[in-house]
Amino acid sequence: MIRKELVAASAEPLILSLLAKGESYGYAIIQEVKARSDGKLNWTDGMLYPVLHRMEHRGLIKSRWAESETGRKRKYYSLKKDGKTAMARHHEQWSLVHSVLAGLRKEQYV
Amino acid sequence: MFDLEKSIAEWRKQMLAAGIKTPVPLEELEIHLREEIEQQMKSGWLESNAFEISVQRIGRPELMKAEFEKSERTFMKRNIKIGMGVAGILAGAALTMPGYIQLRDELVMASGRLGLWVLGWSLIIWSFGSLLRIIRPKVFNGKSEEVEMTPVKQPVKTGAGMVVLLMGVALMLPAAAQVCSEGLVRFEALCWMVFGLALLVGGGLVAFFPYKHRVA
Repeated sequence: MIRKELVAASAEPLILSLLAKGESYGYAIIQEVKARSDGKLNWTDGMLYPVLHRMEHRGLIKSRWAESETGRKRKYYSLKKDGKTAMARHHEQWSLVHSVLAGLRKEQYV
Repeated sequence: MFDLEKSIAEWRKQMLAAGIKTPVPLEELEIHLREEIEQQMKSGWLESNAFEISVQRIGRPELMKAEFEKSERTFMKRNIKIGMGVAGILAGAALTMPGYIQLRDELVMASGRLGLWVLGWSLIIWSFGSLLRIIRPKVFNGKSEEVEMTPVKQPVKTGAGMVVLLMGVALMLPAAAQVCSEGLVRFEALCWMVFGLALLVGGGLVAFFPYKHRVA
């Protein structure tokens, strides 16, 4: 299981990256993160919504209420321009951390 | 006999009791809960088990409340700052009015009113700057970086800034002299003073502030 600090730190970049593919809603976001991480990245479902609301207040994402094909009301979130910029920055920073870690790990096996 | 609707209503009450009172998060959470229950039942769980599992997955209301409060606090803080910025602009505009009225009627401005006029404009510029910083969303902190300048460019930049700054000071002198000798400033001198002030600020920025650019 991934540590909760890392789960919290990765929430924003993951949400931004998922929304970059198109608008989505809370439940679907959680399901996709679970599926993509084979259930290892396990968010407490209810904690996603405060994060989404915070990101909306910061102008990174926007939301709209709509009905799904089943008639259920859902709040759909999508990326704003500043969200795209934030996502690019997150990718850059996480890639840097990843490359440093990968480099150090490689050196251990040489 | 398990009653799903009754259980969901009970869960809503617990959420409200924990302090999640704003309708939007609670409605969103309930929709989420219903989707999760539906999913659990599709996996073969009974309605009552599906409800229990889903409630556990949603998490403890008091923790959620604390998280929601964080974003509400940020939102409130931002609104207060915007309100203060708007109030600052209005107060600044009010301070400039007596000077403008005297200028319109007599083509002169008494030193006291000139002081208020300068104070008013300073307040307007400062408030406008604060509003801009708030309204333009802060995506990253420390997002600008200093750009290294060549040994030739740096003194040219500082020198040019200083020349503009001194020109600004020179243009403000007639107005200052009028204030000292007559206790008022005439329209023409006031116009030069405003122009001089703009040059002073612009020159100061060029001369003393490092050249920065925003990191993408």
